[in-house]
Amino acid sequence: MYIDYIIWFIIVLTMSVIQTGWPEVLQIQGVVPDLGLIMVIFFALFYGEERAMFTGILAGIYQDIASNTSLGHHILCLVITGFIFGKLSSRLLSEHPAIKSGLVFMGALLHGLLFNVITYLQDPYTNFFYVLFVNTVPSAFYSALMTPIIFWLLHHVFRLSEIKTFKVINK
Amino acid sequence: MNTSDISHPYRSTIIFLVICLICILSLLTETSTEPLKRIFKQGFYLITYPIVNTKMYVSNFFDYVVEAVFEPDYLRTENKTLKEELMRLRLALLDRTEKNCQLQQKLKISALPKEWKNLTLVHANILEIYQGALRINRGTNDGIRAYQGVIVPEGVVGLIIDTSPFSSVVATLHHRECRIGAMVQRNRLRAYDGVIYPSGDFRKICTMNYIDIYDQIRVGDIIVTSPESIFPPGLPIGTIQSIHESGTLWKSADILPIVDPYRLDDVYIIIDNIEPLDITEIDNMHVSSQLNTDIKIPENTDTTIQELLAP
Repeated sequence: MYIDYIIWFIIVLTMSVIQTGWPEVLQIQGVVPDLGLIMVIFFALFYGEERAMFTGILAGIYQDIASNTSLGHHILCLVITGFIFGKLSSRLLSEHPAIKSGLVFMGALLHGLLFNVITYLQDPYTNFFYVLFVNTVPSAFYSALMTPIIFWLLHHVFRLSEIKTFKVINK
Repeated sequence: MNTSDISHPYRSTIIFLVICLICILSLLTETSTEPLKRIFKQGFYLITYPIVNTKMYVSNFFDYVVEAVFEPDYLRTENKTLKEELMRLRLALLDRTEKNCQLQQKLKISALPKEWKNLTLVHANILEIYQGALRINRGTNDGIRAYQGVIVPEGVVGLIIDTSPFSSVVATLHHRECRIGAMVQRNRLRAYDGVIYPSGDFRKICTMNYIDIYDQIRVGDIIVTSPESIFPPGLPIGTIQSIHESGTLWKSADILPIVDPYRLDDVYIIIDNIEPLDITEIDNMHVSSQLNTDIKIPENTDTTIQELLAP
């Protein structure tokens, strides 16, 4: 069980580091997928809202530190998204990859909307709609495209961890 | 009923609300992420330090092993080449150091005042110093004679009082045998005897005696060599430190020499024969007015002006 949490911790941290530290690895025409959000939705769909919220806290703290925003900006957006999708996960049929991608797209839009609203409240001189359409929508679309790959990787990693945990318990 | 069972359905909601509340409070207060960033950085350095260190040691060890096993001839050759290079560099350094010393000496001479450049100066190093006298490494073989002036760029050091073929003794302004013709730079005022005397004690000051009580001198006045001295006129000697009035017709002044001989490494000796001005040519009314008309000045005599003017 602890191994599962350690792997979760390492994966979330690694994804956040990749997104904030080496964005050019994933960047296409200046658009970067939100790996933290993809993970939050993954954990919301397959592990429930609690794990999603903690994922949001961890990834959010890292993103807040890396992007020099006020503490809580990214955390709040990711936690709200994780909580909503975690609550919805029990009522959704989310086995098909297209549905997962669609959910990530919706989640990214919600996350972007919240993020831009908070930014607008902090600094009313920002062009809310411009940022929304130029940054948020393309990023949401790119995140949705990356979803099958990331979900496949995460499934693979956590299935391995489950086997290991099972073996440790049986010993 | 267990409390945790009741809270279970609302647990995630409570966590959510708590997190949201904390985040909103943090956003409202605009909490900076700098402290967290610092903690993360320190943590990162702390975690990676042993890894980076170990990596460096392992890498160095492997490099050493590979070189030692596979490239012994190369190492031997390189070692030999490096030793030769080191020797060459050491020799070059010695050569440069010597040239540097020579250049520094030339620079010192070029830094002398303009009017001094016409003088023939002999450079000398100080061999030893005792009781205000300097022993220098130049003697009669270098053209040094007794009562030649010794100077440094800052001012007067003293007089040659004893010579030998390879060394000489300089009486500085701290030595009681030194007498130098001096005047106040501001108003060209001389003492009645025209010279200043070193006190010769531990006070390391000189005295200008027999100054008329009506003559104007001030503490801080600069004392320079007078035209009657064996030095070129105007060389700085010292500054007036204090003035003493004894209630008689004369007053005296303590003079602090500008040059501290105990801090010198080398000096310059004036080889030129600078003759003191003849008494008949002295146009300074201050001195001539004080001369007793009864005094007869002998002709073709070796008596110095200081002795002639002494009370």
